[in-house]
Amino acid sequence: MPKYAMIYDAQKCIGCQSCTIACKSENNVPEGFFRLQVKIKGPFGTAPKLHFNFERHSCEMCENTPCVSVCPTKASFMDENGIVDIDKDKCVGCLYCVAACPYKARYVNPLTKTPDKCNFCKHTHLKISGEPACVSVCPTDALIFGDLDAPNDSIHQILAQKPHFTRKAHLGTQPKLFVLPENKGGISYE
Amino acid sequence: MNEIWGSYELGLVWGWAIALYLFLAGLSSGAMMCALSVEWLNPSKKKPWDAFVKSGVLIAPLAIIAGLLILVFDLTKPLSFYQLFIHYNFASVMSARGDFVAFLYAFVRPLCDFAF
Repeated sequence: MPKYAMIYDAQKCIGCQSCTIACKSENNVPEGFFRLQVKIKGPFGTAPKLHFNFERHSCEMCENTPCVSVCPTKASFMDENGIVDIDKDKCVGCLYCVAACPYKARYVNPLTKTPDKCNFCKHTHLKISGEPACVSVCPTDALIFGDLDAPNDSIHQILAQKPHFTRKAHLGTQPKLFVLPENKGGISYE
Repeated sequence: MNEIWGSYELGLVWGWAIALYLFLAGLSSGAMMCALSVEWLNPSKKKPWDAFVKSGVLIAPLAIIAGLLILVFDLTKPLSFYQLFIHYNFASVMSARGDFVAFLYAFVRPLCDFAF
């Protein structure tokens, strides 16, 4: 069984929002809500040397998932591929998972009345072409999608070679979204 | 340029309805405890103390029923609340202690009323 993971390379990211738009159109995310968003922070520095920081905000696909353990009906679950997903039929809409997510990755879909979030396009783009929509549109290859259980996957090489971190690691959630920090002063965000 | 468009923040997930439910649940159990202690300390049912028992018997069930109704209708899908009794997740505070104990209290407590 694969265990899907993603690397977000903050150095390569240019903040173009292609991933944001691809995600919205692929997964029919309603107007004003996001499964994925790249936040642009800045500008930092002084005049000729200015720079922006980019932060991908989406589900971090934790291994130790607060949203799954708080769900009273097991509607929020982790599937056999390591993807955290929501069973819309079991969900009663108590929004405990929304409150529990330390990354604020969930929004409440006004049409289905259930929380919704990134599931690596598991029913859409991943099923059709083997990678999420955001990864396939990224113009600078800042997103790398891979399988942690496959020893030959290129994701292992990158994680072995480059310094990386996971967000809010002190919470012990063990996210499967790894961030390669930009080298403008090391790790730039929590 | 912090936000491209829209907002990622959801704000408060559990609002005034949950606060009201907690108040009503507290009111119910408080009324119950007052009524029971007066009942036990005043077995001869002297006036005016029996008013505690009478009002407790009235307030306790009404408050918990109203509170649980508020709790159910605070769900985004109130009609599927029965799923809470079909699917259990004992790791979840809400499933194991929350709805289960609250509903147990609501259904078992009236029996205690009748016992007196």
